[in-house]
Amino acid sequence: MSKESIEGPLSALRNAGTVCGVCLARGSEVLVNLFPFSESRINDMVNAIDDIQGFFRKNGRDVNQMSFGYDGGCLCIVEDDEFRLIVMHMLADEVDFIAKASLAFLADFHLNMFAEQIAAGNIRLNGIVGGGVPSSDLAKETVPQSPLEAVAEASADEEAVEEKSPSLDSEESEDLESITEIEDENSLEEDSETEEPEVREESEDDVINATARLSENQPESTLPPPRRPSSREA
Amino acid sequence: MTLQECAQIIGERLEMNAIAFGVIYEGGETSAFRYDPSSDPQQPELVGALVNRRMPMREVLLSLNDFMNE
Repeated sequence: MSKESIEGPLSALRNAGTVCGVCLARGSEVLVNLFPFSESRINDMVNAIDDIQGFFRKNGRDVNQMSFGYDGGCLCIVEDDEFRLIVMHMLADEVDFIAKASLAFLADFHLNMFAEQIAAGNIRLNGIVGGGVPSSDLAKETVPQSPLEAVAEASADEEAVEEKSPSLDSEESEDLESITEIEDENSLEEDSETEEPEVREESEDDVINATARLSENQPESTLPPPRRPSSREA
Repeated sequence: MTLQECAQIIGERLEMNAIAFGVIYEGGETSAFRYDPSSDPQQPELVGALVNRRMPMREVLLSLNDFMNE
């Protein structure tokens, strides 16, 4: 995420209401500083806030929003995960609005970072999404097979294994070949005998008669017979 | 560490030593304090509040103001 894309919404927040300073920090590191104070002063403040948050966290206290009022203005500190947004404003009544806007910014910021990490192929995120399978392997994976395909593949594997199995003695194998040839011929003859005659395609008349036979027990239909397409001679 | 100390430490870094109030959200609770502006600066009067829900900070501060003005 570029610094410009972060500074845009922060500048909008900086110009909202009576806000006069915005600072985005990650732990004790200042990421964006839009405060009207010197950098050293801001660094001191961010370090002090990080120490305070660390103290609360150490004692198992979940403090994620703080607001303090001073003679020169108010400070609203909102924390979301490892990022912290510090906003200075003049009117104490605006604190809830500023806190909401800050939380919305941090949520958006997190979402953008997450999206960028996915786009960059972060290993950790691939592990979450793909169940520990690297992205290259995920790309190779095809659509799950149908059961029929799976059975066909399994039988093909079995045949391959049989082919690889140790060969029998030459004489025995010749005998076996002759037996299998005879069996094949017999099976072909049987097949030719048992083969059913080709099914004759039913004509339109047969279809109409068949339906008539089916409706023997039923009262006669009052509907007119189905029309047949007739070609008129010009 | 109390909330007042937090406010004091941060205020010192920004050279804003006159503290007016402090509010924090801790889990599902709201803790707040406010100095009485009309009290003696050498011996300021302090009002605190602990609410068992996340109350809007503005409402907390207004409630503390009302309590001081009673």
